[in-house]
Amino acid sequence: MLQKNFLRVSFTLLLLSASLMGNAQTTNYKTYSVFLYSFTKYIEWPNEARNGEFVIAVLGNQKLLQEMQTAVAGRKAGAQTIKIVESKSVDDLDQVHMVFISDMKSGSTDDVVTRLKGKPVLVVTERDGLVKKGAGVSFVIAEDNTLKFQVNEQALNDHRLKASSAILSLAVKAI
Amino acid sequence: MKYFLTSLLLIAAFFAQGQVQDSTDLAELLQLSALTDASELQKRLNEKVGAASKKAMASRETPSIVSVISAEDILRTGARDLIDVLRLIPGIDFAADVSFITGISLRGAWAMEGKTLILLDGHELNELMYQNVAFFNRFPVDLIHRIEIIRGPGSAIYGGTAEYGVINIITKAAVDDNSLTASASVGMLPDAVGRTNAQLAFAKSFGKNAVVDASLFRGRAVLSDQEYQDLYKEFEPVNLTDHTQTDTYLANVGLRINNFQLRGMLEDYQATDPLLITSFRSAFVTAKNDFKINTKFSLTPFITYTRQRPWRQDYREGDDQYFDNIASRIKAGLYGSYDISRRVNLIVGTESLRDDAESLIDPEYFYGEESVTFKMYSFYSQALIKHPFVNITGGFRLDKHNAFGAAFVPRLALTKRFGNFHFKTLASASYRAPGIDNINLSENIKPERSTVFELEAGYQLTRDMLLSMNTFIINTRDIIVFYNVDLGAGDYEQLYGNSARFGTRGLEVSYTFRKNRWNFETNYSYYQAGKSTVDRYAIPGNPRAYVAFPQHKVVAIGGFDLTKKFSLNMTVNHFSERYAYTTIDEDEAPMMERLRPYTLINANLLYRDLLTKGFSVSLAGFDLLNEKPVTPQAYNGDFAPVPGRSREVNLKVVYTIPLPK
Repeated sequence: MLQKNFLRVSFTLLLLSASLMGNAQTTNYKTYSVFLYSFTKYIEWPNEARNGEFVIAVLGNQKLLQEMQTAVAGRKAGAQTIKIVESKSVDDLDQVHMVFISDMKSGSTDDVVTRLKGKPVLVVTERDGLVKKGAGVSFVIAEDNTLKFQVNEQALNDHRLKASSAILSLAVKAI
Repeated sequence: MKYFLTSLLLIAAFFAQGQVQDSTDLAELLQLSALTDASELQKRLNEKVGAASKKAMASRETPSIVSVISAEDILRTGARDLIDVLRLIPGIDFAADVSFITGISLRGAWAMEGKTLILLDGHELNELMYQNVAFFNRFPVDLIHRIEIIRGPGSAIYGGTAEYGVINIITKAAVDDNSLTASASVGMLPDAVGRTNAQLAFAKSFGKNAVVDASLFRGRAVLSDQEYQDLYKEFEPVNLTDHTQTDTYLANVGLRINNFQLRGMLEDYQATDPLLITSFRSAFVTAKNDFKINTKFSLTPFITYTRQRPWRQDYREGDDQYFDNIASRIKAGLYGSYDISRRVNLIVGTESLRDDAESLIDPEYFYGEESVTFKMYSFYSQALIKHPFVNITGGFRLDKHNAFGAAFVPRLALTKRFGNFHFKTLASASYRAPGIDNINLSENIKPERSTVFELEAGYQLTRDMLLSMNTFIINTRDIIVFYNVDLGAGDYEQLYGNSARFGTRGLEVSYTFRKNRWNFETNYSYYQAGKSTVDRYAIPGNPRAYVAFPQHKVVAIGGFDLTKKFSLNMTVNHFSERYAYTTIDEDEAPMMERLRPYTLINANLLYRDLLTKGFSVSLAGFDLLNEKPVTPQAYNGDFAPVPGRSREVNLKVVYTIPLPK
């Protein structure tokens, strides 16, 4: 009985400590937005995708969405003006050029890749390693907390995207 | 901060330019930080802790309950020795062993004997006869770069000396490339010099990849300046100022060339009580090399040799010796670390050791012989899987000893940080290997085995605040205890044996608030005795606590920079009531007494860069309330509590400079 009471009190206190709110060192989405913007310079989309606005969809990350809308929306990708849209589900991904899948939505990667098969869309994932599931680019946080990326060249080819030699040489290997 | 500023500049430049011309720009982007700027607290939390697993991880994700102390923490508190530092850690306290030797307790349990592994620059300091470590004024506290304290079991990594905890001390010289540190301190008690310590360390690089380092420590201190009456009142009361002098000599040298490390250490620690002079002499040599086979795989062979003369005891008067043995250990091993993928690491290792002991007094001390030899073989493995939702650390260690048999200790740890929140769920088996004389003075002794469950949750309330709490349950079986067998006519035979059960459970809460110019930390720790069959630890009528150790402890640490160079720092330790054997009844049986709660308040005025950069002066007052808390013996062992020290004023100067490369 004593042990049960002890455990009960301990767990209650643990839950209380976890329910408090605050701010921590967190993901720097400015860095992610810079990278996403830079990909428009280093990857070549086929001619059929060079008309109208250049649409980047963000799946499941409000903070990145806001950052992209502030820092990237309205800039140019070639001759196209960049538009940032929020994607609430996989069904919203028609007519986009790039889609960013947040860490929390990583489970949707298979669906996104299947839905966008053959279309000129760059699939970028926040979680590392998802290039193995067909994403074109996956971000990686290195041991020193700098942001790196992995590239799946075959996936880019399947989506008729052409990566520059620079982006391929600077990508880290997915292991 | 460096990465963050670089990131800001690069991001601003990038968007201002709006155009990327060549690969150079993208290469520069790879220097950008994925995380926002780290506060002082976050920098601490992000530091890797290596002691909890052979694969270093950040403190909030490493698979143990850990505390980390930096050189800056030590400088701020003006700590006189390691006891001042460790008393600030949740669950740690100190008590007396025989002959006034000061030992450590963890979470309410007497942990001096083989339950806490003490590492100094990788050397295992626990002596080989009983696996003890004496603490008082023993360690060069001003030369310490960092202390990693594992407040839970470490046997799955370290074996049978880390049943309840690990304290990993890393000195400045062992990690710096080019630096010099010198310090001197004097502590004044009201009527005596309390301590005088001098410490020196340097590290100097030669060529591109070679570093030589050396540390020297000479310390002298008195354990108490109060009057002592022995438990059985066989002797007249004596003032301990003249009877409890501690002398310490330590020399620690190292050589690093690329991935090869060679380190040697000589130590002579001597303490006195009114009857005996007790000394511990040790020599250690370790050589190891990390062979980086490729980017994923490394192999590390190592060999260590230890030679000790532990617990030598001479009577203060006359030439008679009470106890004198030489013990040595040679240990060699090999472990490999393989990164199977970015998320999976596997470590596999094996060790072999040989212990030898020789009695210098009794030619028939070890089973009728003058000497004895033991051997042990070990195999261990650990897998770390960094899954996006949880880090899984699983491992085991198997030790096979020719005298006490086999010990198998697995562990499983689940840890993860999600933004502000982190948790740890830890289940570990651990054990205490009997020391050479534990085996010798026993009949078929078994290793002591523990099962430990720990749960930690923490939340970073703001950039500067962390609240963390953990609970633990420790169940120990076959606990190794010392007892006397009455042979009649006043003669006793001293033996070690296994008692069925022992344990503690409790919780520890820590709150940290750290800013650039000031910091505040507080922690609370509580333990409750578990089921125990050890009479020597029991308090009659109070099954919730053990002899000598308070159930509640509260610590507060505060520091404020009054100017850029001048700071005021305070520590407060409050301990609840304790119980100790203080006198005898009419039948000459030891009688227990309740000792009142006490509070230690210490203050330190620190002035940095006085006259020249790197020269700091500390003026500290310890035990400002002059509580003089006694240090009870940790068990019913025929010693009255050691009277406490009076209020001490300590002046310390420390000079640290980088050396030219």
